[in-house]
Amino acid sequence: MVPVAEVAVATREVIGFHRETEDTVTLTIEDREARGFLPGQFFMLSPFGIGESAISISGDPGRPGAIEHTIRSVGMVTAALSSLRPGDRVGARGPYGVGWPMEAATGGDLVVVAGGIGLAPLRSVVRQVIGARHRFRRVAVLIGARAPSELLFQQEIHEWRGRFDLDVHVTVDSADASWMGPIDVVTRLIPRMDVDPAKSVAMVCGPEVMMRFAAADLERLGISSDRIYVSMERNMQCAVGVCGHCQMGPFFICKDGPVLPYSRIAPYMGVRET
Amino acid sequence: MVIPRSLSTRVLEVEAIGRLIAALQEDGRTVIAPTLRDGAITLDVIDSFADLPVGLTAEMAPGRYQLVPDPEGRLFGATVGPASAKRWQRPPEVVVWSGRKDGGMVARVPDRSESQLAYVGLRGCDLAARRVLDRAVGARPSDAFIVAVECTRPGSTCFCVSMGTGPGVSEGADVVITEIVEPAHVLVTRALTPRGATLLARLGGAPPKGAEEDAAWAQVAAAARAMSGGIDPDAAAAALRMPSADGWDDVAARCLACGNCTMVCPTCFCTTTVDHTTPDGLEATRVRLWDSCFSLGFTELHGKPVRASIGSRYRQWMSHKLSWWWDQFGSSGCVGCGRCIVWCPVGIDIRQEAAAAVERVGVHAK
Ligand SMILES: Cc1cc2nc3c(=O)[nH]c(=O)nc-3n(C[C@H](O)[C@H](O)[C@H](O)COP(=O)(O)OP(=O)(O)OC[C@H]3O[C@@H](n4cnc5c(N)ncnc54)[C@H](O)[C@@H]3O)c2cc1C
Ligand code: SF4
Ligand code: SF4
Ligand code: FES
Repeated sequence: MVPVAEVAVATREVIGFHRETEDTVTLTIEDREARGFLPGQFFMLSPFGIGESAISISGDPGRPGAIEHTIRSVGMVTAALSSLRPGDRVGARGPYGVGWPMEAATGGDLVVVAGGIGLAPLRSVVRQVIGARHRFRRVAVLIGARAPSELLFQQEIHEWRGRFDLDVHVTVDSADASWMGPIDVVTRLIPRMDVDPAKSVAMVCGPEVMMRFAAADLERLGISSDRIYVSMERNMQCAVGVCGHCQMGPFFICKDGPVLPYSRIAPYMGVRET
Repeated sequence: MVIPRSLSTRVLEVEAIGRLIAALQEDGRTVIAPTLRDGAITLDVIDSFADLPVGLTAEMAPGRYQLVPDPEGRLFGATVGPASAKRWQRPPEVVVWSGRKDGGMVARVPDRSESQLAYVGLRGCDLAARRVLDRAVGARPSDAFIVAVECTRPGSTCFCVSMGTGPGVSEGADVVITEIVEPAHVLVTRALTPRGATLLARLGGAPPKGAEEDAAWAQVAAAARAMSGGIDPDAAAAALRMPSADGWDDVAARCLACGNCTMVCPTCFCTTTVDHTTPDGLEATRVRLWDSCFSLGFTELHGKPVRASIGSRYRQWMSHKLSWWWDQFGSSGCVGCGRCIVWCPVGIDIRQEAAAAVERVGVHAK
């Protein structure tokens, strides 16, 4: 027999639960190690015996001892994660990946464009910005959802809109008469924001087609493609660059990304089935 | 450390391999060597000299493998078979952890068990593949003992010369054997490491007289000269750097997406993770299995594969091997062993597909 070394795998306690929408929840998970993380990084979460999924950090990097994840239930693993409640334990490893370029954005204008669940990793950005607001100039936050009922973090967005130092726009693809805001795709909000393109960094997360359209519009506005960042999504099994699943051209999205400058990833996003 | 030539080179009679196997076993090692299994000469655990496929060799061509007698009665007549050292270096199934829902998960770290193995009969391409694979998965080289064999009769599917990995061996092994049949059937054997020299000293044998060593060198050099074609690594890397959606219909019409090529390839490293769970959900074992970029579910995202067409999957495989591997790991991902050509049921030849890709983008070899 081959000798095996045995080591305990980290599980963490769920300490908070909040239902965002019908299919999306936010879990708070204790983080005693408090190794710190960057907005845009992710964890691999394992509900016991069901499998493992990559889930972004959606909470405040400045909050010690706890990590928030916002999860949309789309299949086995995410459904099992969504059924966890405070007191339950979950396998968690991370944080992994390259996050949003908070340093590069400091001192200039910031544009945040989020579609659907793509708002999760960008909520961390907005929270960090609010926590150190003096480090950024103008900040625009553009949010799109399919319908008003699918809008995440509604209470929090309401608070963001109440601030004089954030330029927040929300749109939905479709809605009934009770919706007072615009009905349009999120990229249509881009011309409405008040930023200096030459001094701006943009951070975009959402479905891949939405990111391509948003990046094209941002470029048209004058933000160069190396200052536009997108967060890519691919099938992930290992998160550390050894399983091969997340490859896209020369990149391992798990470790070279998920956040990448649009200038580097655009040539690959533009080719079918890459 | 430089080992004096007088100590490091020995001419051994063929039967000395039996003593070599026994010596490695005495050191507590399990010996892996070419042996006959399921109608092919492949790497597997052997007990003794009797398990070697003496006097047998294999004819290989795209999609074709045929055992044939070796009129010269060599020990190491056949070049590479369907299994590579990957089977032990990065095993097909590994337990990542197992545990109970209420009791936590315990990881098993069985790895580097490969260090207790001894390989006999790895080729130049195999040694290169071991370096490439370790580099790709971020593993330190194991302590496995390696007795390599230089190739004097490469097959028609071999293209190590163009990839710079064979047919001779100058690093990556403890002991290197060149089996010659002229002027006599002997094993010209040299040690590349101190522990290789120690092993050789236990086997006896005579110092080289000159003629045998010259013959060994000449036969390997002749094999290199005789190997034609292959892949132009620089042209292929350049041609495949930017993915193109066009030009893959031809190979897609032939490829079955069976994934054989990736299973037999000594450097393909993709894996998937699966949880095996008891029906009550209380006990689970997570395993890591070999996977293939040719499988439809490999890129599944939101219930749909990113690479749905077979053409896009072949493009991914070949572009990764021949181009993006350079960006990721500083070398080619292909070592020119030809396994993917032989074991492809429809005989798709990576040399031809690479040449076609180069031609399509007009990047011609110098
Ligand atoms: C970097 C990154 C960050 C993410 N952040 C979030 C987040 O914050 N919130 C959130 O809700 N979702 C996030 N996702 C998506 C989430 O990982 C997938 O929705 C989830 O893995 C789907 O698993 P499932 O079993 O629930 O779904 P199923 O639909 O049952 O999955 C079917 C199959 O597809 C695979 N699969 C589908 N999508 C993915 C994927 N993206 N990665 C790996 N395997 C996949 C599953 O492994 C499974 O084999 C993120 C994905 C990535 C890559
Ligand atoms: S791609 Fe084919 S020829 Fe190249 S190393 Fe893999 S199996 Fe051998
Ligand atoms: S190239 Fe051949 S071996 Fe590889 S997946 Fe296609 S049919 Fe199978
Ligand atoms: S998720 Fe395994 S290589 Fe990126």
